[in-house]
Amino acid sequence: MPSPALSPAQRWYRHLLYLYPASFRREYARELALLFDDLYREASQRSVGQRHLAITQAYVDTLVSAGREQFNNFIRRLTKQEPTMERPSSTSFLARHRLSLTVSATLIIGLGLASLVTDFWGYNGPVAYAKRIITEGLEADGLLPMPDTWDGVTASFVADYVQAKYYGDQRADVGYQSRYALQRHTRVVDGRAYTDPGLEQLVAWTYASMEHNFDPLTCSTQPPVAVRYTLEPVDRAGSAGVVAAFSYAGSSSPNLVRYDLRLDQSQSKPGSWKITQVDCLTLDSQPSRPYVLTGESTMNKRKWTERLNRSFGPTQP
Amino acid sequence: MNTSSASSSSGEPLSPAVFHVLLALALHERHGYGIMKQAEHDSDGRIHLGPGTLYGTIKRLIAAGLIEATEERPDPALDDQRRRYYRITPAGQQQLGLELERLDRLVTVARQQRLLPGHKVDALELTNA
Repeated sequence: MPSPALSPAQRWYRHLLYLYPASFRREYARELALLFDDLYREASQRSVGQRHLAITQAYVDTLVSAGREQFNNFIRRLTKQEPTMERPSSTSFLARHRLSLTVSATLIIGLGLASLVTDFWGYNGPVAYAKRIITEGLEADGLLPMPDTWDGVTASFVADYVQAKYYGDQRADVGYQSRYALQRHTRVVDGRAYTDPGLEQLVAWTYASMEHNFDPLTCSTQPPVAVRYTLEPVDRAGSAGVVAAFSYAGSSSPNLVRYDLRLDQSQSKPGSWKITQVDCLTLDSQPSRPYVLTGESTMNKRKWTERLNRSFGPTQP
Repeated sequence: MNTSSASSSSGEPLSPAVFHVLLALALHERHGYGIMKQAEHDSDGRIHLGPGTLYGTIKRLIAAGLIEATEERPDPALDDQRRRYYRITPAGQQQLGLELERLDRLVTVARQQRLLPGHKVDALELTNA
């Protein structure tokens, strides 16, 4: 558009025309340039001050009208309406687009909530899953429903362990959870406090896992852990805790009192033991009376070795 | 856009730019510079339409159907082949007529109340009016 024959003011004006929307420029740029040329020629016959005033007025008018055309073009594209001589109304614009604005706002809020839910369940999902499968296992064994059982506590305990294992760390509140369970489920009978041995065993396993890399899910330790179980009179809920603990360890039976732990030789290696089954002795199953666990069992490496030799023959230490 | 979007059709006065462009084209077809000079002449130099304002107004008036670009050329002695000429449409004539009637009523009222310059108005007459 600029031509060598044009004055700098005319060339600048032609550059300013690029501020208009393309459609307006295609339609009127040539005529605008011709009109400015007429104005410039007219102003050149006046004084220098009047000439500069006329040019400045034309420049300012171009800037203002270009901004107005750009705004009208923007509104027209939004509303897909023909240009009018009326001033655009922001109220009518919002009213016309209330549906799309509402949908957009709903999507934004919905995506925010979905991300929160996803983040929450992505982290806590394994815990909820562990609790559910343990609860379902207890229900399958006929242990639910029963009053004030250990099921929830045990499930939480196991879930904590699973979560710690899943995330590859030792959660600090595992021990707290166990102590809380012990405190909550300690019972007083005839002035004597009784604690569910099943939960004690779980707690012992937890402590053992911290010290000896004990895995309650496979009952394997390294090195072997000598655990002494002193069975004391417990009520039905307490015995259910024992059963829950053993079912969680790999085997369960609601009518067993004395328990035996079997080792899987094939899984054993020097200094490592894997418990594959838990057997208990018969339990007095009169529901009207507290269950009484009888007997005493001391487990240590020597005893396990003897039992192992007796069951499977001599094995490598 | 149709003529219903023109301001005077909704009872509102036309803007000065629209009014003077219609007035400049009322009797003759003109190009942009001619419209600008005629508007200055009609307003005794009080109205100066800048290039952008003028062609922005022309664009909206064409869209409203009040003026149109013409292919016919005026008197060859006055013609500039490079330029586009515009003329007022019947709808534009109607809009201009409505606006002139509105202004005429205002002037009539002002004249009846002796508010026009040249009439001596005192406070008593204004109060009685």
